[in-house]
Amino acid sequence: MSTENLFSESLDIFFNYDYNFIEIVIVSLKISLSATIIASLISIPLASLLSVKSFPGRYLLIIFTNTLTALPPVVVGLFLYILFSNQGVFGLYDLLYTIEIMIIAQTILITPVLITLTKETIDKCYNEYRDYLHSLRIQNRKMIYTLIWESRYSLITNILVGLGRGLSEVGAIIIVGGNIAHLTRTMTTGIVLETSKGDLSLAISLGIALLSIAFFINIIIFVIKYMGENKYNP
Amino acid sequence: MIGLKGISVFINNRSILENINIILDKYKLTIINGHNGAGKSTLLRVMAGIQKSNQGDIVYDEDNLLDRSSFVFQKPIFLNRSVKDNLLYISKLSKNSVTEQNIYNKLKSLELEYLWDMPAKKISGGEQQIIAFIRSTINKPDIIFLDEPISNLDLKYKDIIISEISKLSENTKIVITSQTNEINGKLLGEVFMLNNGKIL
Repeated sequence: MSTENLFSESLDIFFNYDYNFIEIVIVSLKISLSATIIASLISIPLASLLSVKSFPGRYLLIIFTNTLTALPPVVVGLFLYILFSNQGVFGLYDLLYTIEIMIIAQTILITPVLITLTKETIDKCYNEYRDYLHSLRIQNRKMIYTLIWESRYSLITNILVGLGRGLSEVGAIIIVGGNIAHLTRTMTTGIVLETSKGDLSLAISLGIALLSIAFFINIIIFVIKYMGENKYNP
Repeated sequence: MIGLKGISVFINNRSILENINIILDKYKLTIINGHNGAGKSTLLRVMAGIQKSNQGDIVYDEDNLLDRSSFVFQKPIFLNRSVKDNLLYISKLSKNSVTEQNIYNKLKSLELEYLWDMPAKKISGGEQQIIAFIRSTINKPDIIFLDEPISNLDLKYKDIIISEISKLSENTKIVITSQTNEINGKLLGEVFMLNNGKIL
């Protein structure tokens, strides 16, 4: 098939809302959105605590989370596979080759990235307001809440970066999810499979979908940043 | 009310405050005078518990006095919110029933109500300084620390702040730092002179 025909067929799949194609996109979004929400719920309070509170082992924890940002997805996939396989410690939960285990895998990958980005954002905000907040003698909890609220635009941007990492990830979810059609097939695992099968048109249409979502996320990031930077800042 | 015993502060081995021993009168307004770099702001921050000293002790004659204090920074710090929301943020921290209407009325009495919905970081430096001063009084603190509250202000705002401080000092302990003697003639109180980190 010529390159021209390949692209025209890919665009056909993309614009004709092919059932298989839509299903794959929905599964991808479902997994990555769930993982991003869970990772955010873990990361934002934890990163804020790391910024504001001093406790033994704080620096070690910061170095540890920074190191985990470089965690190779395939290693995460492998560990989860061992833990959740029939002979594994968590084998009884029967989660292997389900969407749930794929969400767990992506949460593990997104969380360190979000902790690092969130800590950087909260640190910046804390440096700006440290003296003021200390002069008010407010509790750490209230201080953290204030810092999170003041950083909300940057935090949303960070969360969307985390979502981007989730959507583009393939190594971990292909191992634990098994790339099963109509069940655990995502855009990235689908691209891998269709390319190896030689069905390049579906692979390209999934690539277009992935890029479109990334483009959409970047538009949101831009709008949020623009809103945040212009509403109250001089 | 506040006693400082042998307070010294060093930053990068440079002495900022050296063996400060003073007792602030409970019922008088306190003015700390000194030139740029004399250590006024550091002394005020140490008194207010925002900065720790390297040596010495501070004694407060009432328990949790600092919990009922407020601080106005030389360069006011505002949250990324409107003037109204910055002021309401403080009122929500207190158990005192300071209503939104009360705060608005205060601004109106000073002819500053036009600032109400404006982003606090976008108003002028003088307006910020006066809003920061109003904010420091919202929760009716027992003690207010003011770091050069009238520096870089035009005459109109200077008069407003001095008049407000004067009224407030009848019931509230106020500690002010000032670079010039400008404030001394207009406000009555005890004066400490600070030079190169030492009380003269």
